Amino acid sequence: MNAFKPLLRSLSSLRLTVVLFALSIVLILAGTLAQTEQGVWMVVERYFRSLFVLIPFQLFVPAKVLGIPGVFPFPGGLTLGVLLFVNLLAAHAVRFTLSWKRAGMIATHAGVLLLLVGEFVTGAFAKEGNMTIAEGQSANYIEDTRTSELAIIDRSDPADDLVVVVPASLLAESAQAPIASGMMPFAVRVVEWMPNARVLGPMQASKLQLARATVGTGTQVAAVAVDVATGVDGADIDTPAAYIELLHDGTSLGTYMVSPRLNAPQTVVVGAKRYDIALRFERNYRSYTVSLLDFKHDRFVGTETARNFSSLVRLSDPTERVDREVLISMNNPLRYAGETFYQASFAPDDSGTVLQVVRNPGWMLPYFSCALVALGLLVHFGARLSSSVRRKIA
Amino acid sequence: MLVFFRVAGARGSLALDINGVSVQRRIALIATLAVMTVGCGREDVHSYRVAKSVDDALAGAGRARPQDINPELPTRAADGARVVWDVPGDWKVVQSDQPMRLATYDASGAEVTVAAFPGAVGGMLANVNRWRGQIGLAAIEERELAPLLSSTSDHGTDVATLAMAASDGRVMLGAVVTPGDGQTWFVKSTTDATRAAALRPAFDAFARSFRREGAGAPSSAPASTRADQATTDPSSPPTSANTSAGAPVQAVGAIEARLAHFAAPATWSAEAQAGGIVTAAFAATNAGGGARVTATSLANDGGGDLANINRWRGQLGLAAMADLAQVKRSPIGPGAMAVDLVNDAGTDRMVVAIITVDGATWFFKLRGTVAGVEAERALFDAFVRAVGLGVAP
Repeated sequence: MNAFKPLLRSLSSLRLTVVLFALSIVLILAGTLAQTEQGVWMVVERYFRSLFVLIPFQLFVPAKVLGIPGVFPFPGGLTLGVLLFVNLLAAHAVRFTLSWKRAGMIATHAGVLLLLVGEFVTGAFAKEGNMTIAEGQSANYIEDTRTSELAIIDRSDPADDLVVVVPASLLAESAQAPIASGMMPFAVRVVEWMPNARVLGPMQASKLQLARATVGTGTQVAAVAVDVATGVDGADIDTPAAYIELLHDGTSLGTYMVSPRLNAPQTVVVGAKRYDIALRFERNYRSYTVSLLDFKHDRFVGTETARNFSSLVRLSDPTERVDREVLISMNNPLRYAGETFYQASFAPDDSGTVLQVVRNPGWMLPYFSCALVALGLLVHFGARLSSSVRRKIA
Repeated sequence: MLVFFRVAGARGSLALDINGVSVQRRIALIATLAVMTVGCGREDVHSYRVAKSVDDALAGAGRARPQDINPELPTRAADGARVVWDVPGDWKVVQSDQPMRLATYDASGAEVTVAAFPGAVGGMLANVNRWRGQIGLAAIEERELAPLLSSTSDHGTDVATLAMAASDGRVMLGAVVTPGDGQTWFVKSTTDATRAAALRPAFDAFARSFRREGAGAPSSAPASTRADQATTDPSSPPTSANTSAGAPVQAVGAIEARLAHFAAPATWSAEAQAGGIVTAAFAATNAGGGARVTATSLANDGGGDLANINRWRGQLGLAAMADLAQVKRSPIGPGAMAVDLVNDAGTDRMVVAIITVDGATWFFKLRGTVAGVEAERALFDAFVRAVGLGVAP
């Protein structure tokens, strides 16, 4: 018990606060600079939601001026956030006393703590994805375009499809050893993984490029790697592709090219059984189905400038006995089952809609925390002002 | 958080709830939890079941996907044939990664695009109205549709072409093609009225040339535009049919074709995984320390000569040039030039031949030590002449 007091005291140190703020400033600078070379979400994960990060020295000096190799370790946003949280709590436990005089300061600090909690909740629980639906079609899953997966689908059961999923993180890591699991009907050896790729059509790809796949779609279209989208590239997303060799009992079933840019699965036959394989954006299935009845993309007459986008959808959820038509348009999202559906984009030639689906249980916390901080500062400085005025009058 | 506040109000009683557990053990516990939390982030192979009725409806059924290439569709022609078409001789292939496009052509300044979707895609009226909306025209009724369309049916392909004039002077040429492969193909070009009028005959012939492979050439296609698919196949030399077309023979893929048939010198070994935009790469061994030879192609101007040259200069630690005029370049053929760069220390050298041909820019690069590059220079120049410029040795 007594051993805890010095620990608490050192955790409440104001010096620690200053050091943590200074480290945070450096981290934010590094994270911002890193977005010139990496995607915004990759930076968020690596710099701001990690325990520690390896920052390249090169980040701070343009490569054209001076080439500096190497990295240095630095506490990540998660570490700094938790330490700031603990530091502030410890300060209240050790130094601050509960009194009406300090109510403003306590409210301000409570708001700051809530902001940290809000970011933690968002990082841990928020889900964001897209629902892409062609006109006349339906979707009952949300795709997370920040990550992908290799799906191996067994459609032999008349009722359900059995889907075995290999996450992209495994594909990206497994350059040499084949990925095998008791759930998978065959092992997957990654010949080449492309975090971002372009697909060349049958008239665009060369024979050399087409020869990389031995079976399936890849013999007619080819994937070529392109630079990953960086934080300064606007709304570009990375579309991966891979050349994978499938192995069954040590025998090669051929090399396939897979990419979310191909819109249909490819069939693999193992013995007498057929499987579909597809590299696709990570899917999260829902109990409800959204069907696109009509997509409208109104333009100002005689121009290509968009006036309005809207999607007339039919929302059906048998579990909740919901079946209704909803018009989703810009600034008029649909809120259902804890998720918000925004009109985000549309398929080329207006042939379908792209809805952004967001679930964030902590979405209200930043509002509360900002209000609390504002209220706290108002009370704190209001009290100071009034006592100052009182002194002057006296 | 609430616990902490309660503790703060009763300082000194912090450890009461977890009596008997030392501070060290508590820290160890927290560390273990932290490691477990990090460990939990690692994903692994997993499986789940999904209702067939819904997933089947989605599989390959017109999902709005970029680059909608779908030879594995269940509705694919029973004979497994893919769809081919004839490209007029004076059209150039444009490298485009625009979503949904199967091919993009530059027809004397007008862009012609080809896309395909499974099924009927809502029917003719819906598609025509979608196009009308794109150029600011009001939707039409079913009864107004027929007079707009010019329909033909040949070699198993139904084609409906139309031209629509927008109020701002633009004209959209469109064609809806159903070659019997279970997909609907869309050919489209939006350009000014003058260009559209000149383009219309070739555009219509192009749309009517779509057919399943092996279904025979369309009888309606004029001989003068029969630059058939063989010319877009990099491995095939131009055929007499298109050389007599009177229009320039498409050289698309010519460098790739030559590259595919290039017999590398004995001292060069091909790198198996050229990958990415590098079409071919060779490791050259010589007494001077060796060198690496690569052939790379990029669409259009490849980002511009100055940007590329400055990138290479950066790779050699040289300062960027502000103006292309400052860079010493040697012309090596029509639309082709070479740059020769040596780093400040005089140890590393890079020779790059830049060849611009048919909407693409090729970079033939020789890089290594100064002695290694010098020893390989003659073979590299012969490689560039033979493959890049197509000059017989």
